[in-house]
Amino acid sequence: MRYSKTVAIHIPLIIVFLFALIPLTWLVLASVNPAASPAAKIPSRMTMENFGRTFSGRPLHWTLNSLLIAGSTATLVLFLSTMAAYPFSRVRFFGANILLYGLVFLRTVPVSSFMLPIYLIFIKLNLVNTYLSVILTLSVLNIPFALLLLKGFYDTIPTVFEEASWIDGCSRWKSIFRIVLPQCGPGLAVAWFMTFMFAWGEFLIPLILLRKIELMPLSVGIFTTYGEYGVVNYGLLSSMSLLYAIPPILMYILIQKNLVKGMVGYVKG
Amino acid sequence: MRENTKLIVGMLSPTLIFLIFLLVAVGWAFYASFTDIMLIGPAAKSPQVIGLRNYERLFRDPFFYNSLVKSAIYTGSVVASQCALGLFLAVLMHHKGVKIKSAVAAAVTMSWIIPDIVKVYTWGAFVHYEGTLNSILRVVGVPPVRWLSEKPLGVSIIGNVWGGTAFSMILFLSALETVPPQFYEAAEVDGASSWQKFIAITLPLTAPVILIDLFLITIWTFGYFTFVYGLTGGGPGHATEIAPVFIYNESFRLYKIGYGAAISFIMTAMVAMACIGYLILLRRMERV
Repeated sequence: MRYSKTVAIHIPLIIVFLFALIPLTWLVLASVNPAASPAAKIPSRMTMENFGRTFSGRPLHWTLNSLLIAGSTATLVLFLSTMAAYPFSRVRFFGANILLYGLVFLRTVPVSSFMLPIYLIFIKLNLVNTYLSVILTLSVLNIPFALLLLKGFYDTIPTVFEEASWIDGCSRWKSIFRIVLPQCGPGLAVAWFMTFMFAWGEFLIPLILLRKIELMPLSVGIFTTYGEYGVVNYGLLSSMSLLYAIPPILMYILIQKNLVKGMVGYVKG
Repeated sequence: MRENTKLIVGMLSPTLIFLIFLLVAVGWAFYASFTDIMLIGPAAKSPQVIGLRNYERLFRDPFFYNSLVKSAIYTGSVVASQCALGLFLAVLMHHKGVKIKSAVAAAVTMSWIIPDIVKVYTWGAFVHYEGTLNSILRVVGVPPVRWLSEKPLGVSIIGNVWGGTAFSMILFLSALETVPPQFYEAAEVDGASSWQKFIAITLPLTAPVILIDLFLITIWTFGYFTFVYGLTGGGPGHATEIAPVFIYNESFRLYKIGYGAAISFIMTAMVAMACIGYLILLRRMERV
């Protein structure tokens, strides 16, 4: 490549790189700065003071709430979609296609469209301000993604092994547990982690359903802390935000290579 | 055959119950949109059916039109910028001999992958009066601006581009991988310029993916509540009150939950039409 062309390609890339990274750099610097402010500066004293405070009192409580909500949602969704994806992959049945398109549709509709229906039904059921309401909602909203993902995994597993086991007298359920599921371990793991991530980061659903400060997950907690008492504690908020961002960042590092493949699968359904 | 039927019913019914629950919720909210239900007070306990009055009111409400206009500006700008920037980055990074490809990809993806509320907080601090953006501008000689009160919609749009472009970029990067390199080699033999190669090869071959990307990010940006709500709450005044924030504010800040349900249905109808368009597109592409 000619030198001038190399430069012409790299300059916009470097600008975008900096544009993407500068706000994040501020976040990291502010999290170790006991006297953090919105201003961009290298802290004169770097401490773990802010992080210490995120592991006590309300921030700790919110973290545990987030873990509980995301963990339960991911487990419930995995349980439901592991079963439900199987017929879509292995059996032809009436309405399968319509249901599949329904699931792709549901996966595409933004969460905010369901904000009022979800709130009104849980008011009616008297379940507002319970973890159950949030876990149920996030499960319904994440089933389509996990189900379609797992269907894709099932589709890649040859049916010959199962058929052979049926001839040997294995029941269908047994063949699923003994043959299909062990072969799609990575698929189950990805489905669980992705659902965990969606539930972990969700803001709107817990915002409307959990109106008590001790029930909030981290997302709503961070939002509530911001601007509380008129003074913003940037150090504490930054360290909370950073800890809150760790699971998705880890996830990204783990599946980095498969992300492109996974996303193409996501779009194609 | 009978065993199959039992299997399908047994495996699907728990999930179907969940999905039916969602349908019931939507149906119930549809009913509520014809009542005067409030979040608090007597109308919370025993709402009255008021027929189409919520919908009539909607079409006379200047703030409803305001939210549609803000949504159109917001969604249009974000989608155009994310798609164009994503494609631009992907094409640049696709060149051979680009050393910093993975560093740029990681940085852009990092600002996308972090939780929404962390994006809001980080971006809010970045555009704060004493924040990094104004410090950078001061170096260049631009006086500081109170971004969140003077240009709230603008910083919301750019913030969303900062936090969301990675999706389009990754999608286009994977689409470019599928373009056979021989096409470019042949074009180079014929002496085609970079721009000509882009117009004649890259664009037509990635067009279906671009279309998918446009559909998806339009739907998602239109319904994206957290970023704008977290950054501005819809304000100052109603300056950034896009449709989902308008629904939230009417329902949960002004307690007019029946009215909120009516707005929600108008918005969902728009989203649903776009989603159906997207499904039709996917079907067409599978046939091709």
